[in-house]
Amino acid sequence: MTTKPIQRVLSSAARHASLARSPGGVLQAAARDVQHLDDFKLVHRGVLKKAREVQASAYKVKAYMRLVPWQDLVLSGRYASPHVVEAAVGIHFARRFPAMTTITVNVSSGTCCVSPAASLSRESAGYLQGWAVRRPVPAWRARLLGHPGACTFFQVDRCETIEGVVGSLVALLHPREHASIGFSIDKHEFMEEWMTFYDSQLVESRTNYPYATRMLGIAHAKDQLDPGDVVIQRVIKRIPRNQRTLLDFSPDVTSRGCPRGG
Amino acid sequence: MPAGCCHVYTADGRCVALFKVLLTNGCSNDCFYCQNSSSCTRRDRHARFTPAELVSTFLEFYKRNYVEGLFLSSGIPGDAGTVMHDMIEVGRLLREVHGFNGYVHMKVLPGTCLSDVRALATHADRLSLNMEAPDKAFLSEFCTTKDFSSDLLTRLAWMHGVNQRQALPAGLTTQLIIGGNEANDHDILRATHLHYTKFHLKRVYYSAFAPVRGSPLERVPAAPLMREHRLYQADWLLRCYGFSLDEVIPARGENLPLHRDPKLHAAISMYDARFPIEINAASYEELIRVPGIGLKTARRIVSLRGRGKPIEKESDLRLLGVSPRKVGPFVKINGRRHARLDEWIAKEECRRCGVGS
Repeated sequence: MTTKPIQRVLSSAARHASLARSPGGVLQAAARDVQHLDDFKLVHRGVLKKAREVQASAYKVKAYMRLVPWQDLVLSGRYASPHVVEAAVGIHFARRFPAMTTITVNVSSGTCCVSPAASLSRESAGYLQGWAVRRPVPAWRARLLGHPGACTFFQVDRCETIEGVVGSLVALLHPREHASIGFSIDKHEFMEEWMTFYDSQLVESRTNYPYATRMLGIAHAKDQLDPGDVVIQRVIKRIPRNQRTLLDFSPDVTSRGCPRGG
Repeated sequence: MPAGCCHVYTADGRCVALFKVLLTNGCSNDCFYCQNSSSCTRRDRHARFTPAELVSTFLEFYKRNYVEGLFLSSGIPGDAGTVMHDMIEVGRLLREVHGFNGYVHMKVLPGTCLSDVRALATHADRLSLNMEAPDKAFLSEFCTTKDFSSDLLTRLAWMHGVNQRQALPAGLTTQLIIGGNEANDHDILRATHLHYTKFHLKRVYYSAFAPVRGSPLERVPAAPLMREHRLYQADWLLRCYGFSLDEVIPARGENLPLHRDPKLHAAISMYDARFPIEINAASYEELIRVPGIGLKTARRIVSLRGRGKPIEKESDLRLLGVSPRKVGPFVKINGRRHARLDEWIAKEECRRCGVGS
């Protein structure tokens, strides 16, 4: 952390849910008082902690969010983060797949980030801008998201399903291909391939489930991964009862196919 | 990944999940520790990917964000050149046809020719070659079909030559097997040091031996995972802390102690000559040799001292993330030491065994 400028730490902290609505007070005072990160850590440990929380959240979303390909045109994904990490996540995937349109939705805040492919037609890009204008994100959130290059943000209504929004966007961005567009590979076939690979990698003597759950963040994993994901269900089964979180016992989790605690 | 998926840490600290796969599991070598070797009586059915199959499978995982990079190795059924050509083709398809810019780690197989090593390096971020044993004598306990000098050392030297101008962003690595033969930690750390100084490897990986059913070493006991862990700690001291080999290497014929980490062991061994040190006067090099003070903390202490903020009391140490209990007998704060070494060791032993807690 010593090499990171204070401004970058403050910028990450500002995206923390509790600071995002009133970033003025604490952060401005922190920026005014100290110039060096070593001093900053001694005086403003709380701000540093919040900055790390935001960075960790973005990091985990980037690592564990699963994407759904719609042929070779669009990739869509959903995640739940309490922080304003939509820009960080959107840019990450836009850079990784420059030839495809990436649609990522933070279901906690209902903010959608679209990174159009470089090859997208001018007409479709125009429609997308129209959508963004009609469905603006809240002003405080827009200020924290900034204007990161080609990413476009808009708000999803509470009554809309994410699948419906993504479907509409795919139709909007690729009207000609929309009739034939779909998953590029059968989902069950894909999961079979994945589980074959996953099981081939497992070395039973080296498994360390408490460590894995600590690193992964089990509540986080449930949000990011497919509810029926066999891998996450296996991990949850192995967590000792006294280390389970409330989420493991909630009816909502049970209804999503994860095992009930006990 | 929760468990079971191979991963790598990139230079910026990110953990990248890898699609770790063999091009083929068929192999004509007789490595006694390996499930796929010709000496194993319980081998799986042989299978082989074509380069196009492997690339399309990998890209399906990659597009869905299940993996972020490729780690490609292979068995050697007969001629190593044929397999290497397929591996090069995989790299070419990924980079040139599909425009993949992510992480690719490829194994150089024993018996590969120089031109293939060069071709592989044009597509890979990292190349590695498994040395498996510290020297020729120890390798012969594992395998009769590989020649340590011509098959392994020569290839490692070629890889070093290819990487002379840091052509490979993630450098070169190797792997040594721990246990299963007579090699001890003294031999392994000497070999490790040689690999770092002579071939400028980025990492040496250690893999604790585990017996495979049907293999010639089936009845040899598995090496304790803690031994592997201690070697990684000693390796870390060599690479990142700049310790000399003499500071961490155990006596000839011995292993590192399993119950104590190598940094603490080194500090206790050299206690009379080096400790306790005055924390507000010690240099950065002295500070990083104190158990409980890491690289970042040592930098912070020196930096704060430079700005006229010396450490006055134990609570200052806590604020910097240092446990006063851990550094007790090794540092003095304003001339005062907080614990005697013999008493401290006795307390720590009790704590470790759960006595009196």
